[in-house]
Amino acid sequence: MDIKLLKKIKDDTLKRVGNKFDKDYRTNKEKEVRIVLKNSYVIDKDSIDEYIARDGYFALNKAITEMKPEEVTEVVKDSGLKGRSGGGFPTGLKWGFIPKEKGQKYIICNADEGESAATIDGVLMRQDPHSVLEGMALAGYAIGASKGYIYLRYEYPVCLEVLNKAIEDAKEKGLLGKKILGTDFDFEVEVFRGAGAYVCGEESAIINSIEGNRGNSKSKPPFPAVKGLFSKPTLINNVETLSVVPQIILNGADWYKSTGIPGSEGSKVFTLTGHLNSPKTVEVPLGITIRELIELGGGMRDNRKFKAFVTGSPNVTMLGSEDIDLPVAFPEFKERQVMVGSGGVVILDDKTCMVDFTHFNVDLLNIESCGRCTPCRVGTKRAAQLLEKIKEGSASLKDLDKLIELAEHLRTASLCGLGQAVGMTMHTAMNSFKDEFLAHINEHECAAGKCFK
Amino acid sequence: MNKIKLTINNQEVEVSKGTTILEAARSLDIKVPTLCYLKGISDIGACRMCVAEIEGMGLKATCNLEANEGMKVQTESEEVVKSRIRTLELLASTHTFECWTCPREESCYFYDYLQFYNVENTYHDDHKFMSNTRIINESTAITLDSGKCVQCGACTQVCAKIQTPATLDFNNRGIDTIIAPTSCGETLDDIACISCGQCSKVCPTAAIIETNHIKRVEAAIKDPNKFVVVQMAPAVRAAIGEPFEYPIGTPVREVEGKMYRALKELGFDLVTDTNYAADLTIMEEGTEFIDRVKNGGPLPLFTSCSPGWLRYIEQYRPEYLPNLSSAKSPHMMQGAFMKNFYAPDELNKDASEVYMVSIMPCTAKKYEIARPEMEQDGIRDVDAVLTTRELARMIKQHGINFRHLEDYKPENELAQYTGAGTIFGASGGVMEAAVRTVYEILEGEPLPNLDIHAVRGVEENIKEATLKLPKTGLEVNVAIVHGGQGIKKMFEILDKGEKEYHFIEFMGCPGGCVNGGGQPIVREEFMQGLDVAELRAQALYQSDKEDVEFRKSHMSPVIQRAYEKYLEKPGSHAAHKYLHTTYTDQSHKLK
Amino acid sequence: MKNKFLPEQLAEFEKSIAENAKDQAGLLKSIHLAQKVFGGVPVEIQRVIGKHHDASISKISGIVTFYDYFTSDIQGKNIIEVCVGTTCYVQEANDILKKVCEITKCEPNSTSRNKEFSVVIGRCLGKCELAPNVIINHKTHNKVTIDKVTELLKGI
Ligand SMILES: Cc1cc2nc3c(=O)[nH]c(=O)nc-3n(C[C@H](O)[C@H](O)[C@H](O)COP(=O)(O)O)c2cc1C
Ligand code: SF4
Ligand code: SF4
Ligand code: SF4
Ligand code: SF4
Ligand code: FES
Ligand code: FES
Repeated sequence: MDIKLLKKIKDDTLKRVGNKFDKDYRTNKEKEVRIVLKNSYVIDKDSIDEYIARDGYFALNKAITEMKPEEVTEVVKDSGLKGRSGGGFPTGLKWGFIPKEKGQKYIICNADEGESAATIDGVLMRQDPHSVLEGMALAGYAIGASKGYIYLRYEYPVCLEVLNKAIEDAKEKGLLGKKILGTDFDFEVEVFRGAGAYVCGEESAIINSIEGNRGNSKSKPPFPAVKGLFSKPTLINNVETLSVVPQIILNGADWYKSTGIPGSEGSKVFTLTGHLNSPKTVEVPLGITIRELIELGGGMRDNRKFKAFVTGSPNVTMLGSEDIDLPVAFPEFKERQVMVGSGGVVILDDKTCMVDFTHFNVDLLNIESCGRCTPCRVGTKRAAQLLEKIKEGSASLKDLDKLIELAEHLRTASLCGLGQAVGMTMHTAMNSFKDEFLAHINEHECAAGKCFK
Repeated sequence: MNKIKLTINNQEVEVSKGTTILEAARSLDIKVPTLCYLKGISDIGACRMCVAEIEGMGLKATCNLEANEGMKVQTESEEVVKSRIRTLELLASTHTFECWTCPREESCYFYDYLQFYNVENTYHDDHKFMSNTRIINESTAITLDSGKCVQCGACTQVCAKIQTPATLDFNNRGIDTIIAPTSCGETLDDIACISCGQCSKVCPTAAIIETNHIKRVEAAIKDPNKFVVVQMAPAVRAAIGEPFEYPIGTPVREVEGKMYRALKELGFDLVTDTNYAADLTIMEEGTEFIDRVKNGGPLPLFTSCSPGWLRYIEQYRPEYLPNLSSAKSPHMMQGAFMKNFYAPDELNKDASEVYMVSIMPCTAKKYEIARPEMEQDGIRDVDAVLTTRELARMIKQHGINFRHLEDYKPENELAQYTGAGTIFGASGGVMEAAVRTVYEILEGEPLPNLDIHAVRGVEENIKEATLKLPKTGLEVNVAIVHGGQGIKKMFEILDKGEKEYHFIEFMGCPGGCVNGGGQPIVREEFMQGLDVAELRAQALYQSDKEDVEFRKSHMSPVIQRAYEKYLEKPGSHAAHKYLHTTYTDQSHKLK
Repeated sequence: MKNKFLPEQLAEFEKSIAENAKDQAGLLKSIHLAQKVFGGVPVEIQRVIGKHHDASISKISGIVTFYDYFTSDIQGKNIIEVCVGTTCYVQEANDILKKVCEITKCEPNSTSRNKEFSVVIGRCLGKCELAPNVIINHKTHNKVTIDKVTELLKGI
């Protein structure tokens, strides 16, 4: 395989498919963009040729034939791309942390998509598997890794099939495997299936899981970049993050930055769910307001009142109706101690009881806690029980104080992001919906009629 | 370059690169509480007790965080203390408190922290918070109690890394996480644990303890129809002082007499000493060795006095069972000899009347007495085993003031011993004792130097020496192996068959019996730079050198008399019937 | 031992996991295979896996009990997975779960006594736009209601 052949496949395929690629699935062409989802719903997921026809693997060719590894990292840095798993960590910076020395290194593509409500990674892997593979290969080239694992959550059997076929096809064409595109660059990809554990989206837990251990989180440092999978330097990125890298390399950092707003460059895919008229998956530039997102979801179901914008469940952070015009962007959200999340958005209407909703999430997180550290293992359970007391009507203000204290303890003393985020969840819930909590405790009043049964 | 400067509680300290903040704090004598940290073995960061405030980083666990240049650490700020208290409150909310009847009442780190931080049991008043079901998993040697587990993971690490069976692990997730051999109710008897009890020694609470025999011993003492005989192992006297505030390694002569006296006061009918049977063991095992050398093997001969080791070889390497000496371990010999010869003949007691209690540094001995082979005509050789810890507890429960006891010296024949018997408690001791006797039997003249330093010490888990027998013209290669890791390694060496050995001493616990799983607990925190096993072993070697009349088993007049009167000679038919045993392949055990 | 397995089946299984054992990342694969072949990973199978992967049975047990999709019991003939992820939950998935448990006489995350059914709690099946979701014997059903699930269960 070389660039000439790649071009030929592109031309031949374009001829064959006719105007198939002109299809546009967007319902709102003004607000929605097509970057991450450029190929999704358009190309045949099983056809590597159609991916190539959409300029697939041209970025990989460009990188490994024309660019030095550091240059690839540099472009990613310049583009402002931030991790799409929700934390918003600058991707290029992360790549730069990997030691430059030669030796075995690994890429892990985090396809655990543990946040319920988020189905973005699933869509990408099902619809456009090669963009993920190409992104991984580019990352592999940039940091000097020759092996990549896709840590795929168990619940995605279709993705498994699609990805495995895509890997086979790419290998057959010399776009993965040994001597890619005739160069000295080798890169293998293997899909590793998880087995059902939310915490196995956390970096060190994924590593434990692949190594054949219980999926406990480990203390950091050492960071995976230094001592990761099988104790080797390891780069872990989310599916969406990696899948957009090929386009950045091909079109340049400035092209990417032209979407979105400063500090939150590029686009983000959101799965809009909850009490909306038409829940759906949309790709929008970062910086869009919550109000606009609700509109894209067809507005509130049954014309009810908007109550809360929730991201990242079960490690939820939430915003109330007063923030409806807040732009969805990393710095703005961070200021309010809210996470952009991996794209799962639950819109709640005024019929939802926030005490109940918080209880649901905290309770779930106890089940999902890996059980390693005291604050999270026991604290999430006690928090859930305190919330249950509020729901039953047996709680006092003392219990609320205890909850606030627990939230703080979880946030500051937990070993990993899971426990810390439960603290955040409780904190934002009690902050944004304080009155509702107080009404439950003092008045035994549940506006949604969920509690005191 | 390789040094780092940081400040902890406003004191500057210089440490080498790679040092954790916790170790740096310890070097300044700053106490940081820990529940899950074991230096060099476990730093999983689970308990969150060791948190400190680090400028710019917030609260961080210090046990696994490397110090960096210029770090500013506060280990006692208000934030930090509050965090520890909350952690303790949460742990307390899962705990079954029964401190007054708890075997760890005086050595419970968790209790100490609760007391130190004056923690209120805030979740205790509401039934709602009682979420964990308590599961008690009892095996012959070890009992697990989930109601007292703080999930520090120390047991799992010691079992996997030091002892190697890895028969304990976390099961389930979240609040349901539990330490267990398997999730399906198997006990440590059902799976290939070696009953060594090393896990119980690192447990900060009573979540892993020796299976209680105090109750049955108390009942036997109260029973007028039982003649209760007690014996105690060599290593017990090297550590029995510790629970009574004697320093580690206190000379045997300072506590042995008090221990005998305490046993009298507890109401035992007859006090004897396992050291007697240790001498007997040397006669039997030594003769077996000579026999094998003369008659073509199988060699190397493996010693057989550590039941943890027995479980290991039966379960993991049964193909080597022919190498194992058929001699019972000393306390089993003592039991069999007492019940079948001495008591009927000289005490006018029928075997069935005698109740034999062994005080042991070992938890596996509890398993050993339950082995089906260990009986004669339905009468068990030994009826109960108390660990050193259990004995100390009984003494305290009875209000006996150990430190002020007058020495007592039991007159009974079965309480007399040589220095060879005493050093059995240290790794290498059995070998040294055997060599003293074997040399003289084979060479027909005294061993020039009785202190064989090559086989002493605990630093290496495999020690080797070559013994030259000039007259006989033999060179005997011996090895001493202790701890599961060493055993595993030794088998790998034997598998390769590159090196020829004649005699190998194996002990299940690292450091041998002085560091057995039933010995008093020494907190990791206080172990800084101390080698507990080494200090206790020194006490035994000192006793061998200074306290005893005879230092070689075959010189003991009481042993000579035992053979004259009852056993004829080592390896005789009678000896085989009562003092030897058989082994079975146990490789089917789950592992 | 409680469970009996066909010798041929075991032999074939052992062959596959002996292959996995060469792979650094092979242990979970072997457990996945066991779950698929035997419908669960009871201690007997845990031991076989441990033997090949040089891991103790306690370690295997710890892993099996950590992950949701491994069970140390053999699962029932029909496996019903009710999603109670966030989106499904806010659309009353708990009521559906209750109904399923009632019909199958099965506690959540367990197997009915007659070994006919296993009810599994799902944590987001990745189809949130179509919540609430239920998977019955590997077939996903969207926008499930109590009536619909009753109907579906009658069919098996
Ligand atoms: C409890 C927990 C669960 C997580 N789950 C996921 C997940 O399902 N998918 C994901 O991509 N990242 C998840 N993350 C974030 C990852 O740990 C990691 O930061 C991410 O994969 C980095 O990718 P990015 O830099 O591309 O965002 C999770 C983090 C925590 C603490
Ligand atoms: S915070 Fe929770 S998930 Fe993370 S290590 Fe602690 S117990 Fe495990
Ligand atoms: S383990 Fe400690 S806290 Fe628990 S009952 Fe025993 S002494 Fe008390
Ligand atoms: S007694 Fe020994 S072998 Fe058994 S679980 Fe404890 S440490 Fe492991
Ligand atoms: S049993 Fe003891 S050592 Fe093991 S985890 Fe529990 S508290 Fe720690
Ligand atoms: S977390 Fe450091 S001692 Fe437990
Ligand atoms: S929450 Fe049920 S499918 Fe996502």
